[in-house]
Amino acid sequence: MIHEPARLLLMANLYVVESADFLFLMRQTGMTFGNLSSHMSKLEAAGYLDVEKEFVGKKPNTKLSLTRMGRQAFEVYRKNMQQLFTDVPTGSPTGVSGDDGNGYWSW
Amino acid sequence: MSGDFDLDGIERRAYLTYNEDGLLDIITGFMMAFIGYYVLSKVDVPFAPFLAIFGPAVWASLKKAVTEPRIGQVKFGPGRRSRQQKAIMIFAVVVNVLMVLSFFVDTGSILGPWGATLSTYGVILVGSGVVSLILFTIGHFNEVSRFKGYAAISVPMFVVSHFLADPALDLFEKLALVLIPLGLLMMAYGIVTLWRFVRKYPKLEDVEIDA
Repeated sequence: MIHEPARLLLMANLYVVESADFLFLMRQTGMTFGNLSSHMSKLEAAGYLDVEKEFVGKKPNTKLSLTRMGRQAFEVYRKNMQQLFTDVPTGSPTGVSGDDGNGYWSW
Repeated sequence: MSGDFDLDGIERRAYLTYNEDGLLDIITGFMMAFIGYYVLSKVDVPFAPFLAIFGPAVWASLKKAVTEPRIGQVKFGPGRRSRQQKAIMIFAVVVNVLMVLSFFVDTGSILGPWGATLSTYGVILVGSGVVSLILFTIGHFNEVSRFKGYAAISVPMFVVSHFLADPALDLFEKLALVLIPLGLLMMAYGIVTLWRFVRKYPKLEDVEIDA
C-alpha cells in the first residue's frame, strides 16, 4: 500500500506535520487534484488516513492527517527500507557499475 | 530511492513554503519603522500595547487572506511549535532587557561608569545587542535566513548612525534613525517576496481543490 511512490510521498508529507489540507498537499507533492484524491481514498480505506471535511467560511475544506495506524505503518515501512539498504552489499558482484560515465546512473 | 527519507527536509520545505510569503518581513518592518517614527515624532501616546496586539493580529489575518488560499493550511508538529515558543521567549526577554536598560539610561548614574559607556556608545551597543539580536533570533528560530541578513545589515547601520547622527540626539532618537530605513528596507523586500509568492502560487478555483 505505502510502497507506491505517490502514496509514499503523501504519507511522508503527512508524517512530518499534524495535519494539512488538500490544497497544501497538492502544492507540496505536485500531484493533480484527481491523482491526490485517488491516493487519498485508498489510504483512507486502508485506515491510514483521517479525512475531515468542513467549511471554512462558505468554502469547503478537506483536512487530512495520519491515523495512529498510518503513522505506525509508515515507521515500519521506513525501518524495513533502511534495513533492506543496510543489508545490500556495497559494490557490484558483476563488476558492472550503474554509472554511465556521465555522472548519471542507469537502472 | 535511498532507503531513508529526508523527513526533516520534507518538514522544512513545508515550513518554508508556508513562510515564503514575505508577510513576516512586511509586518516586522512596519513595526520597526513605526517605532522609529514614533520616537522621532515624540507623540506622547502609549503605542506598545497596540503594536503588540495588532502586529500579530494583522499578520494572522493576512496569512488567512493571502497565504492560505494559495498554498492551503497546515498544522506543524510539536517540535516546530517548541522552536517558535523559544523564539517568542527570547524575544520577550530581550525586549524586557531593553526596557530595563532604557530605564537605567534615563535615570543616569545607577550604572556608574557602565552608564556613561552606554550613553556614549548606546546606539551601537543597544542597537547591535538588541535589535540585531532580535532579527537574528527571528531568522534562526523561524529558519528565515533573510532575517539573519537584516541583522547583519543593521550592525553597520548602527555604527554609521553613532558617528554621523547629530550628537544632540539622544540614544533612542539615534536608534530611530536606523529603525526607520531598516524597517522600510524590510517592508520593501517583503513586498517583493510577496509579489513573487503570489505569482508562484496563484489561487486555485474551488472546484480544483474541493476533494
